[in-house]
Amino acid sequence: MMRIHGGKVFDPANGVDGQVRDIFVRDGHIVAGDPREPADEHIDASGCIVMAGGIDLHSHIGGGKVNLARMLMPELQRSGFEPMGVAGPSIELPSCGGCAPGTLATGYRYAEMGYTAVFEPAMLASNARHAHLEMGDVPIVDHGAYVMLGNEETFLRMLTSGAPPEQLRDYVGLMVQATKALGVKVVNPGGISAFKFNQRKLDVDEPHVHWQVTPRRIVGALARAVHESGLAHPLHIHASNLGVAGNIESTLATISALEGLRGHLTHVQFHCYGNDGPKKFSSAALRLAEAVNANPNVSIDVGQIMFGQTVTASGDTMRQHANADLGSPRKWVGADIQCDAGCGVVPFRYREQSYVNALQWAIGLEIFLLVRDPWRVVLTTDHPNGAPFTSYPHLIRLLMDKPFRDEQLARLHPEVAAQSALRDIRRELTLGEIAILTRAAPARLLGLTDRGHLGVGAAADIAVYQAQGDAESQFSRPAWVLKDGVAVVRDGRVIAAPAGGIHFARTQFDAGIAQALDEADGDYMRGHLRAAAIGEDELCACCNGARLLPWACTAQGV
Amino acid sequence: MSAAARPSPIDAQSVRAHWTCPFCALLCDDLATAHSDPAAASSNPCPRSKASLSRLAAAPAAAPALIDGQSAPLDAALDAAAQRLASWSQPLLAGLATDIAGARAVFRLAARTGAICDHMDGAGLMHGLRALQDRGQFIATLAELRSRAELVVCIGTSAVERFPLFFRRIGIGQPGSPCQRVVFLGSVPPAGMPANPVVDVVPGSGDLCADLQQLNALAAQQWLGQTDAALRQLAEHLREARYAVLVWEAAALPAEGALIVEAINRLVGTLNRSTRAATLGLGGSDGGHSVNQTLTWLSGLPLRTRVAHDGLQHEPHRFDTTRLLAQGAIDGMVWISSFDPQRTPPPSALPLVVLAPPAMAPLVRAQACVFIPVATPGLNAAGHLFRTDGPVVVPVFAMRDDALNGVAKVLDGITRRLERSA
Repeated sequence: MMRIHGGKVFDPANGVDGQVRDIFVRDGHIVAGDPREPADEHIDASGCIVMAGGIDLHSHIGGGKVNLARMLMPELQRSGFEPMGVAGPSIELPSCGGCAPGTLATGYRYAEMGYTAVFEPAMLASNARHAHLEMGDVPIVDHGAYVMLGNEETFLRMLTSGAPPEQLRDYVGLMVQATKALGVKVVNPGGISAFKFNQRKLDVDEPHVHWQVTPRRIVGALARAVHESGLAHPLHIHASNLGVAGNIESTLATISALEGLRGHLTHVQFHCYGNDGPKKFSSAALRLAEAVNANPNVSIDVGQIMFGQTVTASGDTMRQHANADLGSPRKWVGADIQCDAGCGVVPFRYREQSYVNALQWAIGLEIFLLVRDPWRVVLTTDHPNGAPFTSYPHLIRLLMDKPFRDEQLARLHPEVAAQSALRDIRRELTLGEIAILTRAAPARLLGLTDRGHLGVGAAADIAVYQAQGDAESQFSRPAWVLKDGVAVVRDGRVIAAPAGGIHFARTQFDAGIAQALDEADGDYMRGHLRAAAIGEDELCACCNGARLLPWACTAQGV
Repeated sequence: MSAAARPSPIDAQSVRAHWTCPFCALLCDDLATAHSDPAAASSNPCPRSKASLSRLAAAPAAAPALIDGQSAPLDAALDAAAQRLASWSQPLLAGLATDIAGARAVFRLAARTGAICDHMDGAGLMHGLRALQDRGQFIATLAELRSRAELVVCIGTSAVERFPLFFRRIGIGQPGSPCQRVVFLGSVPPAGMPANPVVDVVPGSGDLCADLQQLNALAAQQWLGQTDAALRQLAEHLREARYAVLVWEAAALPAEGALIVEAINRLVGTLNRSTRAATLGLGGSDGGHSVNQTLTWLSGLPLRTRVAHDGLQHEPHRFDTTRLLAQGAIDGMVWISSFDPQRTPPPSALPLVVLAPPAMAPLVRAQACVFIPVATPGLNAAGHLFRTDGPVVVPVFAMRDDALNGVAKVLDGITRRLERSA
C-alpha cells in the first residue's frame, strides 16, 4: 500500500476543499486507509496540493488532421536552425514539441502537468483506425475519442428521407461501436458536406443546398439519438459559423435546437461574437453565459486562445477555407473525405496587438468567469487551435489571479484593454473550482465514474503539486504524478511511460442497421465500407496493448 | 511507448471472404472472393496484384536466415544484426516497405541507434511532402471522386501503370458515376477506357511545369499573350465543373517534381474560390504512406529524418538513400522490403541487414549481409496500411500462416539486444 500524506486535498466530487487528508493507494486504486497500517511506499505531500489527475475532454491529439498539421509545419519542430533534443538524461524517446507535438511528446507533456486522460474530439469514422493507432502512441495518459457524425451522406440521406428516430438511434449506436468511440460530435452541422456542394455559409435554419436539411434538424436528431443510445457524454457540438462576427445568434439557436436535451457546446469562445461597435466585432460572452446559466442541459468548454504561433486543425472545411487567407504562415491543408467528413488545417499566429485576437482572448476569460456553475465549464484551449495545451498553467493563473489578469490585459490592443468587460470582473477562481474545471467536471460530463476524483474505489490517477509560487509555476511542475497508482512523473519530469488505457462506449442497437447501411452505401464506398467495424482485439493492437476501458450503455426507448 | 504492438488476430473465415490486396496503395478489397487463394485466382483483374503474388510464390520452401550467405538460426541472425548495428556510427534504415506495426518498430530502432530513415520511394514521396510543407494542399479521397467528381484530370500520368484498377475504383464508366470527362494532360490514356465519359487528351508542350503555369494563369483568368487552345479549353472545363479532381502520381514526376505538385495545388486553390476542386496523389505503395504517417505522429517529423536523442533532424534533400550512399555519409544500412522480394538493396559496399520475404534470399546470398526472412502483410501476416489518398487506414489479413515473423517482431528483437548490451 502507498500512503500520500499531509497534502491539502482538493476533491470537489467528494466535497473535500483543501482539508489535509491522507490518500491510500493499493493495486492502482484509491482505498480506505488505516493510518496505523504500515505503508510500504510513502509520498510526503506536506506543503503540497493533491488533486485527481487532470482530464482534458477536448484536445486534438491524434488522427489525420493532427498529422497533417505536423507535416505542414516542420519548422515548428526545430529550435531556430537546430534540432530540438531531449534535455538531459531521460527515459523519453525523441519527439518534437511545438504546438503540434509528436504523440510521444504529447503524452510526456500532459503527464508533466498532472493530466492523466485526454480525449480527441474529432475522430472521423473513415479515419478511426488511424486515430486509434495514433492515440495508442500517446503514452501514459488514457485516451478516447468522439466520432464525428452529422455531415456524412449516409446520415444526411437518412434524415432527408425521414428515417424514424429508432433508426437514427441504431445508426448512432452502430457508428460508436464500429469506431470504438466514447461519444459523438457534430461539427458545423451539415456544413462540411454543404461545402462539397460549393455552399459557403450555412446558418442554423438554412437548408443544405443538396440534402435540404437544416443544422437545427441535424443537431436535434443527433442529440436525441445520443440520448436514446444511453451515451454518458451528451452530443458534443461545434456549432455553425465558427469565427464569424455575430455568430452568437447561431450559438443560441443551436442551444434552442436541443429542445431541452443535453448538449455540450465546445470551444464556445470561437462561437461567442457579436457584431457591435466600430469594428463590427464584439464580445457576446455575457449573452452566452446567461444562456448557459439559464439552460442546465448545456455544458461548455471554452477554447481559450493564447498569443503566439499555433496551428488550427478542424473538421470544419467550410470555415477553415474561409479563414485560410488569415493564416500565418500563409499555407493550409484541406480535405474532402470519403462522403463522410472533411478537415482543414490553418496555421495561425494570435497577436496581442490585433483587435480581433485580443478580444478573443478577453472573451474566453469572460466566459470562464461569468458562467456560474463550474460543473458545466471545462478548461480547454481546443489544443492546438486556441493554443497548445502546454499553456494550461498560464491559463489557470489568469483565472485565479485578478492583478495578473489586469497586467496581461494592459498589454493588449488599446481599445480592447480600455473597453473589455474583463476589467470589471473581480472573480478569481479558487483551487477547488480549478479542480472542478480540470478534473471533476470533465469526468462527470464523460461519465467516467472512477476518474476525476479521489474517493475510495477511484483509479489512482493523482497529481501532487508543490503549493509555492504562483499558480502557473505550481501547475507546471507537479512533484508527483501517479497513473493507476504508478509514479510516472517526479519533480516535473517523466520517469515512466506505460501505455495509457482506451475509454470507449459499448452501445446496444439493432444489428440489422449494419446491413441496411452497407447496401445503401455500396455505390459510394466500393471497397472499405466506412462502417467496417473495429473489433476490441484490433483496438488493443492499435493501442499498443493498452488497457481497454469499456463503458456499457443502455439504449433508451424512443 | 511500451510493449510491441500485438498483431491483429486472424479470423480466417471472415478474412477469406474479403482479401485486401496489399500490393499497391489502392488496397482493393474485392479482388478475390470466398475460399479462394489469391495467388490462384484467375478472376483477379489486376496485373500488379498477380505479378506480386507470383514473385512471392517463388520462395524456397524453407526460409532460414542467412549470415554472410550461410544459413543461420533466427536468434543467431538477430545477434549478428544487433552486433553490426552497434558498430555503425551512422546507420540508415532504408527500404522501409512495411506496415504500421513495422513502422513503429523502425522508430524504436532508429531512436536507439540514431539512424536516418528513408523509404525506397522516398524521392517520389518527397515531391508531395515538400509541396505540402511549402504551401499546403486540398485533397479528395476515392469515395469523394466516385460520388462527386464531374471532371478528372490525370496530370503527367495515365494512372494505371502502377495503379491498374484506379479508374475502376473511382467508378469511371459505371452506372451512377457523376464523371462526365477524363482528361490526360501530358500523358496518354490507357487502353480500354470506357466509351463514357468523354476522354480528352491535352498533349501540352512536353514541359509539364510550363503547361501548368499557363493553366494556372488561365484558370485565374489572368491576361496572357498566346495560349494553347487545348489548355484554354481545359481551364474552361475546370472552371465550369462543379467538382474537379486533379490526379498526379509521385513516381511519374521528374526530379524537382515538387514544383509540379505545387502548381497543381495552386490550381486547386484558385478553383476553390469559385467552384469546388481537389487533388488526389497516387503513391505510398510498399508501405510508403504508412511509414511516413507513423514516423510523423510519433516524432513530429516525417520520412528522411534522423531520429536521435540529441534531436530530430529532417532533411528532405540530404537524407536521400542514393545521395547518402554516394557521399559515404552512412556506414551501414538496414534494408526492409516486405512486399516485393525483387526490390533488393541498392548496390553498395556497406555492411547490410536485410529484412525481406524468403524469395529475396537467393538474390542476396552472395552478399556480405545478415538476411532475415519476414512475412508480407496481407499475405501471410495481418497488419494495417494507409491507402493512397491519405485518411484511410485499411486492415489487411493473413491468408495463410507461413510461420514467418513480421518486420516489427524482428526489429524489436534487434532493438532489445541493443538495449541489453548498452
